[in-house]
Amino acid sequence: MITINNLHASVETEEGNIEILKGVDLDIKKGEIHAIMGPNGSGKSTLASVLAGKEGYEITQGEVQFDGKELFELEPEERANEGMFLAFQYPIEVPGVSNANFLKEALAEQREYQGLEPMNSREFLQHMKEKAKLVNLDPSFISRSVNEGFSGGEKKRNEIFQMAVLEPKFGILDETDSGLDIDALKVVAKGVNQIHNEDNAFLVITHYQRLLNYIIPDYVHVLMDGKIVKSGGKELAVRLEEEGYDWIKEEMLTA
Amino acid sequence: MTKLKETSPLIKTQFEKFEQSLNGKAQSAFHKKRQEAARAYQIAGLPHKKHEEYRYLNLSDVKSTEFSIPEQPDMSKVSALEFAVPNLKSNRLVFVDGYFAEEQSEIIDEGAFTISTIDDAPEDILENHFGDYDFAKYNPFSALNIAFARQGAFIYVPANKVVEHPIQVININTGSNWVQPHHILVVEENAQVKFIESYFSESSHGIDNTFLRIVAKSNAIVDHYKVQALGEDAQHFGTTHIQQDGKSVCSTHVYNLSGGLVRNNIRIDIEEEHTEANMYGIYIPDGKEVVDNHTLVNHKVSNCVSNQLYKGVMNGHSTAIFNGKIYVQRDAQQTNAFQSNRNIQNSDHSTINTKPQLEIWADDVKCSHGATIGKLNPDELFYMQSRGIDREKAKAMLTYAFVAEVLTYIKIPALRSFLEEGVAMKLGFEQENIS
Repeated sequence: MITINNLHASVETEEGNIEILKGVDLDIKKGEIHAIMGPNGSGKSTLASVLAGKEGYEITQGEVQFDGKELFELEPEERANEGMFLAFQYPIEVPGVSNANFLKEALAEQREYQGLEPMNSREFLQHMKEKAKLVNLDPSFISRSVNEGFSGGEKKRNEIFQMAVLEPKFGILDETDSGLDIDALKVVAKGVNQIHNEDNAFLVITHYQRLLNYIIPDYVHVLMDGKIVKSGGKELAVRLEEEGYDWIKEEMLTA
Repeated sequence: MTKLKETSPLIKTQFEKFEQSLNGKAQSAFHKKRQEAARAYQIAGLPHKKHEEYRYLNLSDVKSTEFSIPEQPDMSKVSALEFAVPNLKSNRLVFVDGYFAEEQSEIIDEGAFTISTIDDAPEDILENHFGDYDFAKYNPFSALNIAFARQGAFIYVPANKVVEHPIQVININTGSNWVQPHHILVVEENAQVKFIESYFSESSHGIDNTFLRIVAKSNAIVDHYKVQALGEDAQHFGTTHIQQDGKSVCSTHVYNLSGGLVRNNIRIDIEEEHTEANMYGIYIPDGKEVVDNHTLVNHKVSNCVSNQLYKGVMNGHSTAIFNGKIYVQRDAQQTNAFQSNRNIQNSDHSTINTKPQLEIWADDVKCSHGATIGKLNPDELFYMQSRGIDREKAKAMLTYAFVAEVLTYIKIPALRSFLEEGVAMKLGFEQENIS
């Protein structure tokens, strides 16, 4: 699905570029769920932003193949239409644009890109209502402006809802669990699990292990100082939660 | 022919010719006001660059245009229905090049109000409501309009009447210069009316110089909508003067969809207490369009409220000008006056001049104003792109969302849909309504 090869990326600041990603390698196959954990400032969110194509980063080395295409040759909207979806850590409020118009437009562009006929209004509304149920969103939110006045939990649920509507091949969850209480976390996880199937893949970026009790990863990677320094199964996440990251640093020093 | 840049004395010849064409009506009290206006114009001439009210507006084109009164056009060649707000049941009055097109007009609320052309309006009404405006000082264009005023709608809503359907005055310019309709709307005590004043071009050019006077007597409720969709080289100079008596509520909207050079003046005089005045506006110029909105609300007495919300988006090489004056006179204690002018500059080649101007002589009032100029939020843009929406489309959607807030204040659903569509189309975003 996606192969990341020796990825180096810098963030552009007023004082010049600062390298954040220092050679990330990652291979995610379809049907898999990967989790990336790591301390603050290790580059987790930068990785998500760079993959989605946010401005303000410079790719200095490496390449990413996304479903057979050179990712960095695609505009952010093309990446989305190829099937990539980033659930934002801090979803953006878009005053004046209703959820309905927003998603109708997104879906229309995606279908056009894929050479499909647009959905008519009835099909679209039906699709929206079905998916809203997945994350317990009241259908009345459809006519409200995107994320405007939503609570933190509602915003996160809206991200998963959008993901359900757009049915991506590859979903990135950027700290979707942050700020969620356990009930909301379960709702979000349930949504992701229902979307997940053998043809798509997920990258779950998180600071805590708790989310991974509900979204069970096939692989867990540790990102430290811009590199993946350790990979393992889901038991790695449990050990990180219990023991922190110091033991990995020690391992790295002795290695 | 008289070129306006040579101004004043030569207009006199035109005016004398005009008087001869009035066939004896030139003796009326009404006509004395025209003479007064002609004299005022002869002294003032068209505004020059140093005229404070016209500092940012380049009038060189209009100044070099020959002044003449348009000939009556062949009404049968103009299809006014094309310009009517779609799906709106309304009372319709059509003016083509300033001339009343009776066959294309239709009144459905018989008996709810009376209409006539200005020329035939009752003397006493004209005496009270025609030309009574400090035109020379503020606006030579108005003086010129009043001097040559002949055609235009005079609409009178008697006391306690509620006009069920909106009154729509459609003004079509076939490409003529100096089309100068003069409309008057008098809404008597406790009466209510919704009034649409629209201006369209049948060709790419033409000059309108319009005047509308609205008189709202006590407890009257008036919604006024001015809509402009003009040709790319068309010029429009329009003045709306609203006079409000006690406890009346007037909302005046200006929606500019297109036009080469457009200047809208609005002046509201609040004469008596407990009165509310609202002003809403949108301008979305692109290409080389120039839109200039000058508004003035004059709080003369205490305990009144005024609100203003104008939003603009500048694309291409366009220019927009906003000047919003709020006067709070010494006796106007307990005034609440609010003004907001917000702009998005979508193009580095565009220009916006915004100038809020509060002049307060009373000491116990609540007034605020805010003017902003900004760009689209890059985070919002990226968010939309990340969902697969093309960057240009995302820009159009965000821009539309920004201005569409103003349209929510429109109280005529069919007009609102018409403008939503018009605004979206101009901004390159085909709006679809989903609910």
